Parts: sequence; C-alpha cells; structure tokens
Amino acid sequence: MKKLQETLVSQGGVFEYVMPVQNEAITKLQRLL
Amino acid sequence: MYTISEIGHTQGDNTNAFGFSVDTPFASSQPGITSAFKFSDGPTSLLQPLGANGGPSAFRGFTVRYQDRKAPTPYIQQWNFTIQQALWGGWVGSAVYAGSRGIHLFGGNYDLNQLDPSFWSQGLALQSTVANPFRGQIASGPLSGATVQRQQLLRPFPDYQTVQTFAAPNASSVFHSFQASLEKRFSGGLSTLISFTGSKLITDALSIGGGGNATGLEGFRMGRFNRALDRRIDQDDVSRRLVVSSVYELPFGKGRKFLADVPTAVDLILGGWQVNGIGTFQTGKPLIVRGANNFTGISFPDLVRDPTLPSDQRSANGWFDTNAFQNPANFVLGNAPFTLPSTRGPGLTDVSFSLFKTFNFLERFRLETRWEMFNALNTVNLNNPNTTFSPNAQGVNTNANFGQDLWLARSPQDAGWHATHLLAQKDRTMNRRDFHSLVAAGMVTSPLAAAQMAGSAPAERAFDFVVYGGTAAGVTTAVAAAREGMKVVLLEPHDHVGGMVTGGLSGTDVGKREVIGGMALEFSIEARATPWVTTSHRHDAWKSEPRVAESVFHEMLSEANVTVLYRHRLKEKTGVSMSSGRIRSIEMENGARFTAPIFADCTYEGDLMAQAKVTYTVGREGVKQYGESLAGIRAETPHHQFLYPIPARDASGKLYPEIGDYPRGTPGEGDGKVQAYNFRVIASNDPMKRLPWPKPAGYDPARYELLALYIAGEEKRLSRATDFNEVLLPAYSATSKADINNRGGFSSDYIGKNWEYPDGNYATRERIWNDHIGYQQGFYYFLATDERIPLTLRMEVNEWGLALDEYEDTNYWPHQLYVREARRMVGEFVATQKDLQTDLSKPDAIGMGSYQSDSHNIQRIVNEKGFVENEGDVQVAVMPYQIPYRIMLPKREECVNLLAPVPFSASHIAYASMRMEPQWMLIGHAAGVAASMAHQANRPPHEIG
Repeated sequence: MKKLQETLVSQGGVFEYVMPVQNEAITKLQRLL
Repeated sequence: MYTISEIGHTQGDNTNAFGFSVDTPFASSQPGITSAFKFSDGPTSLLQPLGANGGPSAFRGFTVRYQDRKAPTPYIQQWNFTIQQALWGGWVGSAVYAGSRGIHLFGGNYDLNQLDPSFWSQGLALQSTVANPFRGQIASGPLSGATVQRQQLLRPFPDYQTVQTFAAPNASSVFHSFQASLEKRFSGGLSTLISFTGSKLITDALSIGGGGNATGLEGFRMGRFNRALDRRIDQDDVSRRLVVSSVYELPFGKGRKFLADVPTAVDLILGGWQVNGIGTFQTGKPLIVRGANNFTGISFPDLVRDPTLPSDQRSANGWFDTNAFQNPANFVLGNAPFTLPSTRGPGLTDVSFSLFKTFNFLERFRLETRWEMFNALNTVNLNNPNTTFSPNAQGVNTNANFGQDLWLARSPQDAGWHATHLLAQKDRTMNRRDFHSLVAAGMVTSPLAAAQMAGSAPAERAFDFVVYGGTAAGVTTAVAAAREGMKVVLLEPHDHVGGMVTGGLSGTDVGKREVIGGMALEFSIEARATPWVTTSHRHDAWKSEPRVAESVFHEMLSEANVTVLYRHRLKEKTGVSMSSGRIRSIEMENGARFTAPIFADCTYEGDLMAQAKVTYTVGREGVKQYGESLAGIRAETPHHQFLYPIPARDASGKLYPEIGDYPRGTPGEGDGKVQAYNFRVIASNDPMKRLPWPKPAGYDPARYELLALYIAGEEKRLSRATDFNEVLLPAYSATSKADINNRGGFSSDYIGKNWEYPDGNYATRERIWNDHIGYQQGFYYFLATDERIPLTLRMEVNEWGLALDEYEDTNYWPHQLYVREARRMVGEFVATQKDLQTDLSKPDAIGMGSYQSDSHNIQRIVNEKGFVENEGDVQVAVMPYQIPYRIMLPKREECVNLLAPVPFSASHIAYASMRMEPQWMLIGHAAGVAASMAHQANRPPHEIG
C-alpha cells in the first residue's frame, strides 16, 4: 500500500487538504508537465 | 474409388467510407404506444450535416483524422488446389493447398505528423520549450499556450497535434496453408474427422480490425518513413494445428445392432447413448515484447540475440531468454521485430469427451442429457508469458516476471453432468453432421478465415489489463496502467471516450480544488477552457469544452499506447467467463473475446461487475443499515422543490403529468430507487453557432402542464418574473457556450423515470434513454414556445440553442445520459456517511474527495396535503476526506482479479459525494497503478504491498 501511495504522490496525487490555493501538488504537477 | 481435384480463385472487395453525416432521431412521446411518425406521412424534417461550413481551420491546434478521398479499394484474392481421394472402408482423404493475399487492407493507420527521425540526433533539445508562434491564433488546447516544445515545431504540421490517418488502406497480407484431412464417413455408428493445418500468415496490418493507434505496441514504428519495417509473421499466426474428432453411437437399443427388441422401459435406459471426443493440439503464437523507453516514444527494445530457448529449457518460470533484450540508446530506434517469429508462446493440448443420452418419449419429446469431461488429460496449458520489458538506467530489464507464465490459460480437468434439455422432436438441433461442421469450423483454418483474420477482429486477444467502459475514469485507469508498462485495452460500448466529461458535463462539480491532483488535475489543465488559465487559477481549470476534453483523452490514450476499441459492448448475461473466483475472459456482442490477468469495470452501470457475480446494490439504504442520518426516504426536501404550493391534481381530480402515483414511503427507510438522470446539453447563445431548440417527435405540450404551473407559482412567490437562471443553470466553458444544468422544482431532471435503468437489460436502458431525450427536448421546446411561459423568459430561452460545434454525430445532442448513480458494489469496504464527515483519514488512502453529498431528487409525489412535492434531494456539506483503496475491491471470496473504480463500494449517501468526475478520475488513476503493481507481483489487487 505504501508503494502505491508513494507512486501516486510522485505522479501528483494529493492526500492532504492544504488551505492555500497554491499547494504542493500544483508545484509538483508543474514540474511533471 | 474416385479422385476429385479442384482449383479455384476468388476475389472480394472491402470498402469503407467517411464523411460528414448526421442522424435524425425519431422518438415517440409514448414508446410502444404511439409511433414517432407514420410511414405514409414521412418524417417532418431531416437534419442536415454542418459539413465543410466549419472551414479549413476549424480544428487547428487539435488532433485530427485524415482520410484519402482517392484511396484504393481493399480486396482479397484467394486461391486453392484440392485433391480428394476416396479410400477404403468409408474413409475419404483430402489435401488442400490454400492461399490468400490481402491488398490495400485497412489496419495500416499512422500519424502523418510524426517527427522525422533525422531530428532525433538533437536529443533532449527537442523537449526544450520555445516561444509558441501560434499563440493568439489557436484558441484552446495544448498548442494555445505561450510556449511549446521544440519538437512540436519540427513536425510536418506544427500547428496540429496528431494527424491520424483514417481507414488508410495501405496494409497487406499473405497467407499460405497446407490442409490435410482424413474423414471416416458415418457407418456402423462411427464417424471420425482428422484434420491437420500447417500455415503462415504474414502481414504489416497494425491493429487488426481497421482502427488502431498511430504508433507504439500495435502501430507502425515509422509510419511516414518506413512501413515495411513492421512486416512480420502475424501475432495470431498458428503454424501447426491438428484436430481429431469422433462420434460413436453405442450399438444398443431400438434400431441398433444389439438389444433391438428389448421392452421400451429397458430401451429407455440402455438405448440412445452417444460418445463424442475432440482432441486439439496446436503450436503457440509469436510473442511481442515492448517496454523500451528512450525518448522516441517507440517502445521496441533492442534484440542482442535470438531469445528462443530450447524446448526442454522452457517453463512457467522462464519461457525465453530475457537477457536478449536491452533498452536502445536514447533517441535510437530499437531493432526488435514487431513479433518474434521463432519465439512463440506455449501451445495448446486439449482432449475432451462427452457422453450423450437421449430419451425419446410420447413421440413428440426428447430429453437430452450429457456428461462432459473437458481437458481429460489434465494438461497444463500455459498462457503467453509476461512480455513487458522494463529497463533501468543501464538499459537492463528489471521486471521480475518478464518471460514468466503468470497465469494458467485454460482450466484444469473438469468433468460432470452439464446440461439437460427437453426438446420437442421437430426441434432436434444437433445431429452428427452438425457436430462435425461445428467442430470443423473451429479446427480448419480455411482460406476465407485467414483472409478475415487480416481484415476483422480476431476472436480472442490477450492483454495485461482489460478496462471495460471508456468513461473519464476508464481513460485514467487505462492510461495509468499503460504508463506503468502494461499492455492495456480500453473497451468502450459506444462511440466516444470520456463518459459525462465529454458527454456534456463541462461544469462538473469539483468541491475543493486543492484536493485534486494526479491525472485528474493533469487532464483539467490540458483541457481547460481558458488558454491563459495556469495551475494557480484552478477554479477556472475545471471547465472544458467537450470536444477539447475528448481530444485530450485521445491524446493521453494515444501517448500511453492504450488499445482503444469502440462499439465493444459486453455480451448480455453470458459475457463473462469465470472460474475459481477469477474472471478468465470477457466476450463482446460482436464475438470478440478478451483475456487478461486483471480487469476493471469503469462503466457507470457496473455491467462487468454484475456479470462477475459480485455483490452489488441499487438505490438508497435505510438509516439503520449503516447508521447514516441522511439515508433513506427524506421527510423534508428543501432544495429543487415546489416552494409555492401547487395542487397535484386538476379540477377533475386527475394527477398532472410527471407526478408519480405512488406513496412517499416511510422516512428513514430504504428503497430501491435511484436519483434522477438528465442530459447536460451544450448550448450556445451565439446566433451563428446554435440550433434552435428542436421539437421532439410526438411532442405534447400537455405533458408540461406542471412546468407552467411551477413558473406561475414562482412568480407569485417571488413577486417578479422568473428568469432563465432560475429554471436552467448555465456553466460557461467558452464565451458563448455553456453546459445547461438542472435547477429548481421542475427542470431537466426526469424524476422517477430511471429506477429500472441500473439493473435493466440493454433494451430497457435504451427505452429509458430515449424517453429522457424526448422529455428533455420537449422541456426546452415548451419553455421556448408555449404561451403560458412569460414572454421575457421565452425570449431568454430562445437566445440559446444546441451548440453546433459539439455532437455532430448525435444531432448536437450529448452522447451520454447523465447516469449519476446505478449499481454500487458491496465490496471489501463500504464507504458511508461517517467517511465524509467524521472518519476522514484512511490507512489505504489513494486520493481525496470534498464535494458535498449531492443526491438529486428521486421521486415526485403527492404529499400529505395534496400538493406536489419532490423527494430525495440531499445537499449536505462534508469535510475534505481521504478515499480508501478498498472501495474498488470486490469481496475477496467473490472475485480476485477485478477493480471497480466507477461502480465502487459506497452507500447512496457516500456515493453522492465521491461520484464526482474528478474523484472518479483519480480513483481510476490509482486503479491503473494498482493493477500494474498486482500484475508485477503476480498477486491479486487485494494484496498489493
């Protein structure tokens, strides 16, 4: 399960709600794109 | 004694056509009762296609398809030479040479916009970003941004994405075969047929069947530049096949040699026995190895030596020499051939017997029972080995299962009484001749069959992962798995991928944007409506035009090399073959069959799940079942309601149309009813780009009496005229284009008319689907034309019409009914209300949801005061919550190789929040990665570590 979650995070998956609009997932995805 | 020799030649044509077309649907307002129109009168109007009016630059910046108007007609030549010789004792021998040649066959599509490989020498500089010269000229899509990759500008058509050939007749095939047979014609109760076929099928057709990807697993590597590179022994070539079949009628009982005069009672037991035997022995099919990764986008590896192992060294633990494959150097084409001609998969040995007994009685009836033994020798028949090469940085394979047979292909010995039929004598269906012809049909590779192999879908295809249902989640499931290296097929029952995301839901419900990541966010940004929207403007990102969304999905599927097959609908009732809690294969209505170690059901309806006998439920639970306060029938429904009291009956006591003549039920208790469906039409308020609201066939304004009363009631309640936004809710995806949502007490939701849909058969669903079209078209037409609608509102409604740049193939009407909820699995873990509100963290989280629990109305009833009332709508806020992996797993004891990312396991209340398209897409993303991990580990998805 940990491996699945790590893979999803590395592919931009989000597991946590962060209040500010600009969160880590966007930065991560910007890198991926 | 006689000899017959024969020589023959035939030639057949095969044609295909492509162009602008539009269907005019005819729907009765009361299907089965009144007709849509009389043949003697003819239809009232026929729609005309938009044709070339869009202009030559209508699709600039997108993926387009190209068909050569002067393409030659495909044809097949067949020839054969036959010698037949009568031998002794009723035996007849024959020898046949048969061949065929397919010329200009379909199945040779490729990307006309492929990058010239001579540019590969520029290496990673190809991926550097440069200023986009088309900025400002292309309105949306990936080519509308400020920058593009350098390689895009080096393409032959730099202002387009993929330029895919369509029905390009540039493939060919050659088939040679030697067929020998020996037949003992029926005498003395015995007949036997022994047949042998040795053959070779050579082709360069890519995706057999005419569709296919432009590049990759089934594509021409160098479509524009060197198509001959992919000429090879076909992947379905069986080089040798021997089949022996025999039927023996035991010589006992009336009309037979022995015991012909026994009393009827004895004959009933001893007479009428027949033994059948079939033995099939065949060689394996050539293997296809892919998985290289070197920036070319072409996954052919390098072959450093022949990977074939001697037969005594092949086993389930190692079928070929895996070290013979290496990753090619970056930006260099791998040299492995399309198929490995001498490295074939395991063959097949299958010997089966059956014993038939027929009881004749009362002269008219026949009772037939049979005992069958499949795979009598209990031969271990292996499936094709894993052929996914996964290189590391040194170019060496890292997939531990590469070259291994992970799954048994055919069932072990299975014996028992299998069928008993009572037949009327006149219906006798199977005699000896029938039996032989049936057996022969499967065992002799005729020249015709070979020609068909090159031009139509083969009967059975093996993949690593079969995804059924081309919804948006189906796409992310398939793409995520393919990106992990799996060989994936996506089967879509109809003509489009994307489900509701391309089917009209431009303004999808999203909730907190911050919780959406992965492939769902990737899609949203790619398909965003406004070109200048960036990742930091994500509130606007979730609005896309359907045709843009579909082109993004096509691109994602194509880049990941997913095989996509349209019009592949699961055969009803008998489409799934299972044994030992595992789906072995699924069969489509068109006869195509697919095998894989893992399957996913991504349909809104859960059809694959249901046929796999996985437990599921339909409708809402009661409060008690899972302790959910919001569950069951609602005592009060505050939203989307008749807020001004309207009597449910007219002066004569008759119910107004569209009100259900059934009781509310007891609040808090469950029922089998599902929330309302509608279509999310894409409308335009640009006079040049809209089709006036169409009048449906059989339109009857009396059906919308309640709508007129509702609007009149709203005017009294609000003391002002009702405006457009209070009856219909537009969500803009472009300046003059919007997805029109349901709003208020009487709107586009067709309440209470879909309860039979989830569990209905295909015919029932089609009837309900068409009924929804008739209702909703009539709803808009009534608002636009009926004099009881205030003039100001009518004028506002008439400013809009169906957008002319969407859904040309379905009359500008969406291709997808908004099936908000159908079957829901009851699996390893059932998500419920607490998982949205209090129990927010999960150890096996795979993503997050946050949209309010949103169930649309379920029924429209007469309330206790005699007024009309909608019941079932729930709009309750939730906290952002984690979605557990377990919701897509069936109970382990029911099925170990199915994932259900769309009809997942949740109560009505939890599903009403989790079912949003972004969540479906991210659940699909996780399903694809999980399938790949399960495949690599050769474990059920329940056990991924």
